[in-house]
Amino acid sequence: MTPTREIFWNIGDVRTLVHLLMFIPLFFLLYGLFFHFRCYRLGRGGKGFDHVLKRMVSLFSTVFTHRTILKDRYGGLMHLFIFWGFFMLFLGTIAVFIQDSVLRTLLEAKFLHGGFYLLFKLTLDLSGILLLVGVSMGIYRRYVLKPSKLDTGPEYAFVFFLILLITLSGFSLEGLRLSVLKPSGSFWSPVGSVLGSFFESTLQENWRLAFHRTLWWVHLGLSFLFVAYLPFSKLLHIFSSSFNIFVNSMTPSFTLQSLDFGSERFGVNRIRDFAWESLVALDACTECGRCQSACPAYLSEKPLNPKKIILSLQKRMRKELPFSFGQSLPRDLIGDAVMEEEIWGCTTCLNCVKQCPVFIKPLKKILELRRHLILTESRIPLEIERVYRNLEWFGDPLGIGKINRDELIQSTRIERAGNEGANDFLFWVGCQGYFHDRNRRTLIVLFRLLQKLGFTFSVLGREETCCGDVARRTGNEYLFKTIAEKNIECFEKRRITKIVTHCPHCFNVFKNEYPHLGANLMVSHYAELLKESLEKTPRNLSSDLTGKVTFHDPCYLSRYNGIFSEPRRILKSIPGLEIVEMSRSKEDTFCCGAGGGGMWLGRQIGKKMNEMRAEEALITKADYLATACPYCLNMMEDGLKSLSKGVALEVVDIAELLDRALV
Amino acid sequence: MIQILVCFKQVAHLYSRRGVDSSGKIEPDAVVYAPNPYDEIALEEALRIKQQVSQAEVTLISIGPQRVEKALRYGLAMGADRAIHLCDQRLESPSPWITSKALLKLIQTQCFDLILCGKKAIDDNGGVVGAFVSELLSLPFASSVTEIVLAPDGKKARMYRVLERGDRHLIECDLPALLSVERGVIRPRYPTLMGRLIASRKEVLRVRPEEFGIDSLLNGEPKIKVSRLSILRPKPKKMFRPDSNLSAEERIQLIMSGGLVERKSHSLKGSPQDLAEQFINFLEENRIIKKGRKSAD
Amino acid sequence: MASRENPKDIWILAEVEGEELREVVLELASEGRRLADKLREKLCAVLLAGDSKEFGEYLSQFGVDSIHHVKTGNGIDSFIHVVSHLMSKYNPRLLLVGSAPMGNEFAARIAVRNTIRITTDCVILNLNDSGYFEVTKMVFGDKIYATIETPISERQIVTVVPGSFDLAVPGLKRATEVIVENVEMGQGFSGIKYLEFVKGDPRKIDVSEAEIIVAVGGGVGGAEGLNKIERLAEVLEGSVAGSRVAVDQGWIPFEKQIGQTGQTVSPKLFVSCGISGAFEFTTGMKDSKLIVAINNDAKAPIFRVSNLSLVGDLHTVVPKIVEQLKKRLKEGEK
Repeated sequence: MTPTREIFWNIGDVRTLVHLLMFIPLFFLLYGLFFHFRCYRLGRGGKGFDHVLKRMVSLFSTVFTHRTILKDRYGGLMHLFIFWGFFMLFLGTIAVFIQDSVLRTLLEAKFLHGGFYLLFKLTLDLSGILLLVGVSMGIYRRYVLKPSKLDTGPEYAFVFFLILLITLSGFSLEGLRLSVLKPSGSFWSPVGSVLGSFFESTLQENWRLAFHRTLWWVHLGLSFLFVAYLPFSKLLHIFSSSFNIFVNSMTPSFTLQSLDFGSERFGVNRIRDFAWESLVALDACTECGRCQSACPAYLSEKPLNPKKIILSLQKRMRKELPFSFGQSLPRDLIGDAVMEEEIWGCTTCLNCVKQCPVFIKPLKKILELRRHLILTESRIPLEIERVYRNLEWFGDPLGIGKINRDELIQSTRIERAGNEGANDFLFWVGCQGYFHDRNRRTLIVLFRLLQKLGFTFSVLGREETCCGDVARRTGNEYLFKTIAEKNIECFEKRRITKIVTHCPHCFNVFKNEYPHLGANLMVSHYAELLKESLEKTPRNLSSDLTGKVTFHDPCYLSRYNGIFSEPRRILKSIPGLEIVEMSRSKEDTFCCGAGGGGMWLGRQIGKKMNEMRAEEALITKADYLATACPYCLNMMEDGLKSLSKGVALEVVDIAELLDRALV
Repeated sequence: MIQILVCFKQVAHLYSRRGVDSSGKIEPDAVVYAPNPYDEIALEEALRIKQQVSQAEVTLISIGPQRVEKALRYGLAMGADRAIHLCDQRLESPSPWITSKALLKLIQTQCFDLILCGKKAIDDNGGVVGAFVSELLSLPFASSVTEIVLAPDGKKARMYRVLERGDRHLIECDLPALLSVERGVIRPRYPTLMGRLIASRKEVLRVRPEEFGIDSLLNGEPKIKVSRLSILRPKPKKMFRPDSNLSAEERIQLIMSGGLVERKSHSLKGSPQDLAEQFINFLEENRIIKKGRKSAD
Repeated sequence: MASRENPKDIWILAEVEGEELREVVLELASEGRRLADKLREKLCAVLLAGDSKEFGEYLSQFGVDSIHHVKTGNGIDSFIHVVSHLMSKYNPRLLLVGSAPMGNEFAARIAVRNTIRITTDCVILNLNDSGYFEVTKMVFGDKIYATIETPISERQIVTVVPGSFDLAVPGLKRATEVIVENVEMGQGFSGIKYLEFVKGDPRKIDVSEAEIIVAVGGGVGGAEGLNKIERLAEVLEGSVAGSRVAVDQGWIPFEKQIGQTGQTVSPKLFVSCGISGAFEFTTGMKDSKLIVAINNDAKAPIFRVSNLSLVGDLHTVVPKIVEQLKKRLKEGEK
């Protein structure tokens, strides 16, 4: 007899009954999915899709390769096994179903026979094993290792055991059948064969037949339960996360959208204020907790926890739907689902976005909440309000005023910008460089260095104002737009198209956000410039400068813009220096705490981020802590000072090290 | 409908001594034109009354050249309903007499229950215009008030007058009245985005001096003649030599920031008892605490 | 401004606060006497209410030639009425008034009624050799001194910031005449009704209004140290404030932060405890009239701006101060 599949062997003529019964779980599945779909429709915005093909490609490649999920080695592997095991078994079931219902009736053909069928069986058995291994890994990690990022509630255990039971019962069914039928080629189902021998040795044939019959219905019931339960459990992520990848994986890593000044409400304070794509993201959360364990605010014991925010918003979204029991009137989010202090704890470091395997952007939600606080309600922390007033009247967040920018210019004798033409580029200093003593010293060195390397450039001096980053990151879109438009006008008037910046915040905002407002700029960070220069023209670098150096990657340089190899290249070129890395570096760098208004929000709850980072630096036993951002530099110096380790290592800008080495 | 007028001045804000040379000439870049902080507080008081009373209208009035409009838009964005601007280039920095007469003319075109103004303008540091206008209008006047609350019938107002050391007088006056507002616990609000958008669409009513017959006034009156401006105190009380251990930059900053009062900076060491005694003597010498009746004056 | 013919003499306003003559009056008298001597004219004082006998002695020792005692009237509106009347009756060249707390209002209203030039918040007053008064005040947010010259033939009122003029050494009593002025009150307008006096609680008032401030920094260490500071503030009847470090640590609320990112204050007395005194901090308090600094580190930059520098551990020094102060104040009460 050629190997083939007999689905209802030993069960009887229940095909029609089973097909009818199938509608029950399907109904629940569709009902559940539709509920969630209606939740998304609460959000704003048009409902069309562009680039459908590109999205499908992105979806399939992300899901099949698990590239984002594999960032966490153990969890990624675990889920890879579960996914592929489950997926293959699912395909197998579909194949059987197709053969049994469609092909059998319409074409009287079978494809699951012969050699192909045997291969089919082997694949499924191996997939089952893979699935069991994955689930075991999952249970072990969640309930034995118990990492803090994972919750240990009963609902997760239930899902695991459901899958386990379905798989094990499926294997058992196979084993029981093989033990009775004893078809040829049964060794192509290794697990089945093993189980079959076991059953054969323990039970008589009629017992086995009876057991098989019962187990078959149990297996069917559990599978139906799985399908019906899916949309009401964590298993929803099978659909919702995939959908989210389809919807949201195409947008670039992180840019903020400009505000529509024509609307009545700005920012988000109700579920319905969110764009519908954001609501899709809320449902995609698998509670993996990676954002939480990556968030510097959470790690420094602030009230903020990105995972909690997403889940809190998710819960709200589901309650918002009219026919769900509970609140029917829209209620504010801030003060209920999310607290103000959580919103202000964020430094916009982007790690939550980078770590999320399913492309949820918790940072985006926080910024939209901030926009509401600032633009709609003017509910602004005192320190930030002061910054806004300073920006509006004096053009810099410190309120020092443009005439005081002269101080830097006078000490370096760089010419002020005229109409660009002769110079290579405009060097945008940034407010910290003009006004903060320590950063001014860096800039003087950097200017000297750039001149030594043969660059010609100008600076704006008094005409330079803030780039607007702090306004945008704290939620004040209006102020940002005002500042940016003024700057763009200045660039156009002076025909400036090439800008090199010192500060990564300025760099990020010019490069990624000003173009949306009509700017036409080529922007580089000075680290890129220095690296290129060193590569193009090898320099004679002194070997007198020796020691260990560790580089602190600024968030806005490494995570936002992927620039982390350039500074290392520069450091490597200094012969006497040995680079040592901190435990969290490059794109996984730990925030210094200054971003997103953190520099100005003085009230600290919990630990200080800069002290935590300083401790990491001290562990490396480096002599120098190098960085490429004025805020990071100040924060690191402050951090070491407050740990009373100010002399343990010297905090420098990479330009300062390079300058010392350049003879 | 309660009508509140707020005198809103755009002041020349000198934010740094760097732009002032030794003869007192001021560079244009050293000056930022911004709403007078005290007037912002006055507007905030008016807006609070508006919230309290629910049927009220707040009108800003101001005089000055074209640039004043920017400050008025800011005031509108905070929540004022209307703005009137007496616009003339000659009103660059008028004397209190001209200012009062001009404001008087503007006010006389409006009906009002209450006029508010800031205690003083931070550029010329005068603080007399409020009193002047109240006298010209024969209105009850109170200076340096805060936390103004209207009676339900709108005929009286209660407020605190700010005295020294945090003390207050609770006072009451009949309306209409003119009140000059001091900084207390009230902080001016930051405009919402909606406020800004609404303000940008509103019209600032611009009027010319000719319409009020004060054109000749602006030509005639001699301004206050400032014979000189100086950064350093012209007749120093006592000279101060900054610590030579400071960097040059820090020494200049100390001088520029006005550390020209005598500072005896020799440090005292000793037992806690000794130091405590030194402290007490210091307080007595400087009349912070009265010497015991035992010792003579 | 029409100037009346031949104004003569220097006048000062002698305000009474409660039972005492205001301190600023003696400063005005000192400066007034110097000007009067230069002009070879009289120095007169308008005494509003109060006891002419007791205050007359003080004023006399500070060089006042005649005191115009106003016994009638109660409240600012009536005083303004009276002094206006006196201004037109006696036609002085110059009237000096202390600017705080209501001096500016007072002077301004008199100036309008009599059409007299007025300059407020003077810090330096001079009579130059060309026959001009030079009135110097601060402008542009207290950054620049502006000097205004007026001929002595033009009447004016000048309000003076307390603490600007040097006190003269009180001399022998002179033959000061006391003239009682009985002025018809007349109708006037009712103006302001005074309801109640609310004493400022130094613990609750805004730091910018406090006359005495005790500030803490990192050196205070924690709740225990803060306690000691609070007791010092209590016995001095001052307010507690702090540096950015203190606010960051949560010991002091943000509203009481002093410095570049906090408030700028200029109280009569500023006591700094355990604050190193970096520029970002001192920029917010360096204009205080008197500064006492207590710090363990003799090289702390705060000592560059302090009038009295105490090098010691605040945890031992401050309790001692509190102890001694309590003793001294008790003695004073006896």
